Amino acid sequence: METPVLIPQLGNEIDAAQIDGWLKAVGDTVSAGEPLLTISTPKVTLEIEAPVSGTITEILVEADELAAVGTTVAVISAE
Amino acid sequence: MSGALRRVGGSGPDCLLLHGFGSDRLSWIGNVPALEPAVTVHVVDLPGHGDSRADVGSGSPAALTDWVEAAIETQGIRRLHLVGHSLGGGVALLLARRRPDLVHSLTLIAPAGLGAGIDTEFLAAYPTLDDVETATALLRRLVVRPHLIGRPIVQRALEQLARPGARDALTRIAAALIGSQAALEEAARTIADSTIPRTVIWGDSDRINPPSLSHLAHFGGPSHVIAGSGHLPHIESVKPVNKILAAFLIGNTAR
Repeated sequence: METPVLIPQLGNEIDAAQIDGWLKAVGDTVSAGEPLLTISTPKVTLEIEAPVSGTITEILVEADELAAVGTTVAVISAE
Repeated sequence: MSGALRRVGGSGPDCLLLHGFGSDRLSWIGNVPALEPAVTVHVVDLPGHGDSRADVGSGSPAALTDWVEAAIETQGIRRLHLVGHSLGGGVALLLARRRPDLVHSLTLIAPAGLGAGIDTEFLAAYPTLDDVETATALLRRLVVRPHLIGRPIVQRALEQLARPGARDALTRIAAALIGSQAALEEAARTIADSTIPRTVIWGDSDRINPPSLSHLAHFGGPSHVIAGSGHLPHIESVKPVNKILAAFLIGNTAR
């Protein structure tokens, strides 16, 4: 099963975040809860965790790009 | 003054999040969604911070507390939960000491007033920052994992410092905070003898305001030490801190 990794809701003042960097790559196996990437907003950098365990099959937004809240930034194929 | 508090979501009892020195209301964005099921969340830019245009006055924690108290009353809020980080934790302590009738509960994250000694060099240097390299190095003292201080955060900090009056305001606030340690500790001792529900959260690697174990023991209420976090556990360890915040607020909303 494929599970999207989304930019989470960040309150009503923030509609996008910058991808700071990926901590994992396509093909990597990850566990649920493991940090996948960091995103920056004007005051906070947050780590986004894997929603499920599995293998990263796609990374859709590269480092330094902006992604709107709700955007799918990666896909994990669950085991 | 009108509308200084910003309601950002949630329902139920009111809860105000008070940010730390040099920070602003946006520092809470990783926490707000977790609190919305428990409380009506309000955030604020303290004078001298964020988009606030308010005069900092003397800049003392007591002066900031005057301002927050007035902002709460302007909003017509009669009772609320206070969550405060660092300087904001000190303001929460002073407000709870002065107006226990106003406060449902206190959640203090690495608060001024319960520490073993604040990093005065950090406070003095922050208002003078004017280049990316120095700013990045200084801000990274706040965290264990340096990648949490990325370029957007440094840029925003420098942009805010470049606004007219910002450096003077923060310099005044920093000096007054250092000079107010005794008053903050006294407020903490008074609250220790009160019935206000309270909890304290601290990163185990806080280099800016490490906890005083004796102050914490006397303060009472559950203390949570977050492994692998510096001075910003609510950002660096957002998940465990959100769990503690939500459980504590839910547990104290039936009062």
